[in-house]
Amino acid sequence: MNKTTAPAPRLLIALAFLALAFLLLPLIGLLLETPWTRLPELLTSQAATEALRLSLVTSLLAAFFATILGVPLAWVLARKEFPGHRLVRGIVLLPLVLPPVVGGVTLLTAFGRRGLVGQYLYDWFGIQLPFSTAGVVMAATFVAMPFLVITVEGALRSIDTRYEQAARTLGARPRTVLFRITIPLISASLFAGIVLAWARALGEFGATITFAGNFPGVTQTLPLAVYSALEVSRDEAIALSLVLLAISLTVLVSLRGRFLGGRS
Amino acid sequence: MSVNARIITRVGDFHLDAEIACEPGETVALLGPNGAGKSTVLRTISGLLPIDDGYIRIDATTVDEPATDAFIPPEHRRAGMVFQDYLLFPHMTVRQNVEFGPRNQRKDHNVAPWIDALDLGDLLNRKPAQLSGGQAQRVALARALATDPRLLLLDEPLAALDAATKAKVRGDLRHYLQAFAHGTVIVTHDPLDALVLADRIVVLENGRVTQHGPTAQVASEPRTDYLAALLGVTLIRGSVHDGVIACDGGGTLISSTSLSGSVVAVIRPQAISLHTNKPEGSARNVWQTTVAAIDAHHDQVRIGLAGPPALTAAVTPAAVAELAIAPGLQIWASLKATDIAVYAS
Repeated sequence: MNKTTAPAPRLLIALAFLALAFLLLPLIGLLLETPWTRLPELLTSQAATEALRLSLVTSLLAAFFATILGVPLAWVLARKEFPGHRLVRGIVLLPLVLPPVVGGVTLLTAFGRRGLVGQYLYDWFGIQLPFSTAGVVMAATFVAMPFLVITVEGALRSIDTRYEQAARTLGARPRTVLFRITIPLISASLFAGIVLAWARALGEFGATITFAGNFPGVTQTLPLAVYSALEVSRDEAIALSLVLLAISLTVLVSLRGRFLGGRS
Repeated sequence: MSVNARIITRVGDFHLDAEIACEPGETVALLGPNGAGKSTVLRTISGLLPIDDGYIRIDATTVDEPATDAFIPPEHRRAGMVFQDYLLFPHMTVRQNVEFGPRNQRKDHNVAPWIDALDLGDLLNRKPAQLSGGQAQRVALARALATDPRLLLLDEPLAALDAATKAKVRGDLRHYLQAFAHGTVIVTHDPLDALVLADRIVVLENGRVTQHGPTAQVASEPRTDYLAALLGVTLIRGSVHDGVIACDGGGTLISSTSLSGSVVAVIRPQAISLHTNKPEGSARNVWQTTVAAIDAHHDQVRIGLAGPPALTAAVTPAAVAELAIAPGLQIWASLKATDIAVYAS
């Protein structure tokens, strides 16, 4: 016990327990209602395996795109001063606070068949992004990228840039400095950012259903499958939820050192 | 010339305007107080900071000259730099750190000569976090030398070491620098580093060169208050006529100089003797004064004497007890004319 801590008011303790119960009870409810004996059968149904496969593929692709686009953006934000810096940063962070369904609507206005860019993609190349698997990846990337950008930007700001200067005096060109010094120095945060972005992409619902729709085998990811299953089979919805819960717990444990203040 | 530069640059409110030159095989110490601009000079020579005006030439190559838009980036200057806290790449082993430079230059990766010369054989697979200060310093030096630089720049190479290690590393460093065929510029605020390592000293104060010359000369003829204090001597400015110095701060001193006009006089504190009664003897300067301050200074006690002229005497702790020296005490001081070194200013 830390003796310097002031004694806690009883009301505070009571409310803290209430908060914990509020977070814990739904999990207990899910576990209690899980049809354990039917679980293998429920999770191997065609709808479930298709949704699981689609979720894994699209979320990994989204994490990939969020990384190769987000790292350069984070670098520019961390290292370059330019007019409108704050505005750019605000735009980057917007998807964090924007309701995902609104994100989906904005994607439609940009990439829909009559959207800003989408009309040309369709007219000139016959490319139709909404209601396709590519659309699922886009929606997930849209909501997931900010997590990667803010994590990596913070890391880039916190490392000692003199290591990069030392590398240049040793004959390293800017590209060599980036790949052999900067990225290795931020590797822990970069990994954390990728995992966070991937987890966010995996759980994406609102922007996906708005922009990509809910078509089994094409755009119906796990969260969408849970939502659809609720209307027909509560057991199936619970079984799929359990899968998502297991993945979330795994992510949490793998990142425990970085975000929970524990030791990695 | 290994390096020849007139460096003019402004960093915030700080204005630097310094000339520096270094011959091949020579070690030049850039000596000055904190904030004098010493590290800024190294950053401009290495290319990490562009200059606003002037020129920097390494060997015969102009690497920075704003007037002609010449600027060669640091990775192409071949100026090896050792940073104050070494900046060994924490994610690489000692070997990878040393090989980093040659790899960038696409040269053969044989760094064995440097590993032998700096005795790193047992450390190759360690990470920087597992090295002592002295070891890290050797790795940093090997890393810089492995790029086959045309010029070596050392920024306070001994400042991060503890006192016990410092003396040994200073000696080793002298040995390595003597073997280095090109020029070395070493930044330091420690006069001992400059005396031991440098052939020439350039004194930098507040962005300006205030004195420069061969090491022995600069050490024996300090022309600035900073350098005098650093070397533990007192500097008196004044004008001399027939050997008598009229000090700018008041008072006179009798010297043996044949100069006349404006001069600086350098007086070692050990040259001043203190007495309870008026001393008999040959000293030409004998005067009564008041003890203004007492300061323990290693194995000596420094006694500040109220002027004019205000001077500092150094005596043994035993003498302090014997003479019952205390602030405010009236005391006699004596100083031989031949112990006052006088230089034209």
